[in-house]
Amino acid sequence: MSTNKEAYILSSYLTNRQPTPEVLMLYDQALKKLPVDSNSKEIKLWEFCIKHTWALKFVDAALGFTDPYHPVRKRIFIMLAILETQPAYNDCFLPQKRSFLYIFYVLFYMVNAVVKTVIGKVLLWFI
Amino acid sequence: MVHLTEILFDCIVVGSGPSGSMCAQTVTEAGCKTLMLDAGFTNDQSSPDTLSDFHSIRTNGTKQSAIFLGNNFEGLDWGPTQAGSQLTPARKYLIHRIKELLPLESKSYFPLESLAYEGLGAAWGLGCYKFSNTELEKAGLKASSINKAYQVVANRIGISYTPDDIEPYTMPGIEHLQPSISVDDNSRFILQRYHKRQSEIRKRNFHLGIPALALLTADKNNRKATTYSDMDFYNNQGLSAWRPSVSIEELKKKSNFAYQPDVLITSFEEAGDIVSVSGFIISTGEPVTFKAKKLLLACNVTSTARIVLRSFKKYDHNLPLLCNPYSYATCLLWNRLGKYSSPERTSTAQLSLFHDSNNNNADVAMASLYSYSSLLLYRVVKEVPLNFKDALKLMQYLIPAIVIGGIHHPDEPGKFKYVCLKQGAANFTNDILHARYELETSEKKAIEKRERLFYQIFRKLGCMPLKKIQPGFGASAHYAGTLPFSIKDEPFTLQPNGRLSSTKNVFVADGSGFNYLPAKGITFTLMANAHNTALNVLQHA
Repeated sequence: MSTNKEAYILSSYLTNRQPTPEVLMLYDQALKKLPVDSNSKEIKLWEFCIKHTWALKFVDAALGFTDPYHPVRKRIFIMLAILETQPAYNDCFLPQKRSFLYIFYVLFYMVNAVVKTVIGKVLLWFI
Repeated sequence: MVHLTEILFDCIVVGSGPSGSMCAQTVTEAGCKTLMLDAGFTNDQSSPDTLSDFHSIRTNGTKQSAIFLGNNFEGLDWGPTQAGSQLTPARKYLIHRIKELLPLESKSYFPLESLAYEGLGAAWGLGCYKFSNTELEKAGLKASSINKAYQVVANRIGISYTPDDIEPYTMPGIEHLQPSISVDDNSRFILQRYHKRQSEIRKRNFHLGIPALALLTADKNNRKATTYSDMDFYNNQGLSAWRPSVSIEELKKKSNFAYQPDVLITSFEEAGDIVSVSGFIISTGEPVTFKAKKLLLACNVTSTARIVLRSFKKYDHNLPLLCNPYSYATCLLWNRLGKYSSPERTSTAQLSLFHDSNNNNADVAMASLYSYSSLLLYRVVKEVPLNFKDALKLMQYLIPAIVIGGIHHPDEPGKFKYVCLKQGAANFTNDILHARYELETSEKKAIEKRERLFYQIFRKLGCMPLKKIQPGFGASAHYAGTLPFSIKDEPFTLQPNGRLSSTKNVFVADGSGFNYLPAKGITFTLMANAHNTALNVLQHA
């Protein structure tokens, strides 16, 4: 599978934005330097996430709780690290000044995250 | 290199870390013809744009991935946190070829070893702490001579510290200090809380202050004061931090000092008044031998243990091992959430918190408080048990208010703390160091109890502990005790002057001799001991 396709999916998932040419190049290089060793079951899960991109957030959530060093998460981690080093995505990574009320927004997101974990766990039974 | 093997040196120093650099300086300045032997790996990757500060690079730098991820993405550590995980790409060379050249097997002990130029000194946190007289005696060191040596080392390296509440645990009696660093906004907040609750916290035998650091806040000779660029994990702008290379590069200018890298020393042999020091050239595998009247081993306790055991052909013989138990807690400074923090800071520990259990500076544990700065979010996001996208959102909000509290505990010898050399491995030296490090139940309970006390104080200081991480024994990077000091001339011990028992002219200048390992950072005391050992070598000569 083309790494570019993966890069588009992962970048959109993490930042709601397309990857820049630099990100595409770095992701391709990173996968060559840091191969992601996967058994057949793990490959099957990854292919499912690529084909059904809506599932990625749930699978990521469930694995984050049960198997944080799963190969699927390694790919996301690599893309996350690359995006963080690109100024085009600074607003997603650099500290921002926030009002006190922002904490409620974050708490809402965390409840959301827990729900994703539960859905993801159910989903993993079927994949 | 050939000509160096033909010279009879006055002193050979093995190792280029803090201990090696100090003892080499002492003997070289006394006029000895000195050879420093070192594996000496260096960082062969150039990092662009590292003269800027962290904030500028992060905001505008277009080639950041090389600095923060590494040219080969070596900064992307996947898997549970372990010793070495925290090294930035600029420092990954510190563990280059360790598994191959310094093989170690253990299920319980995972030390950080280095064959790099400057050794672990290249990544030293710069904290400087004098051991108390009680701690020195427990360690087997003579307080009167070490206290003099502390001043010598302080004068050489330059230390910044303004006396405050933690002076008894840092720099009592040391002169010619520069002013303390200016701490960051989070640390200023913690200090304010401490001062408001000072008597309550001190009643519980805790003391907080700004640590003494081997980091200049004023220019010294050709070295510049720190510019608070927050790039200390990546480079050493203006040589404001003391690293062993600062001293060694000056020694290289002297005609009676030679530095030879690319050599791994494996053993020594005495014949009359000459010590032959043998090893191999790393790049070619060829054997090589150097000769000197005195040998100073200063290559970290496990490397020294390997050399000594091999030289005496003593296999399957246990040597004791000391290592500070260490854990760290991610804490939230909730009152700083969403607030702006000035980017000007150092990357070093901002504050030190000491617990003096009996209020007599004899049994002290220590926490170093760091802001999570100059490291990228991806390192911490992977530890959050959520999906990456939401974890990123959470940590982007929390990180500016995160404080990392790393707690060190003192250590004493124990039944299950040892190293031994086993023969028969298929490698350069045909042997492998086996290590075991386990705490007894009483020790575990004492540590857990003490850490609970630390967490209570963290909360009083406004730092809410969120997650405790135990990176495994060995992660403290503080090691000692494999050749304990003894007044009896027993094998595999050191005489009080640093001479290896059963030898005439072999001295050990690292922490191998310490019988006790206080929780306070060991490096300053290692350097003082190395200087003293070198003085003893000169007297012995």
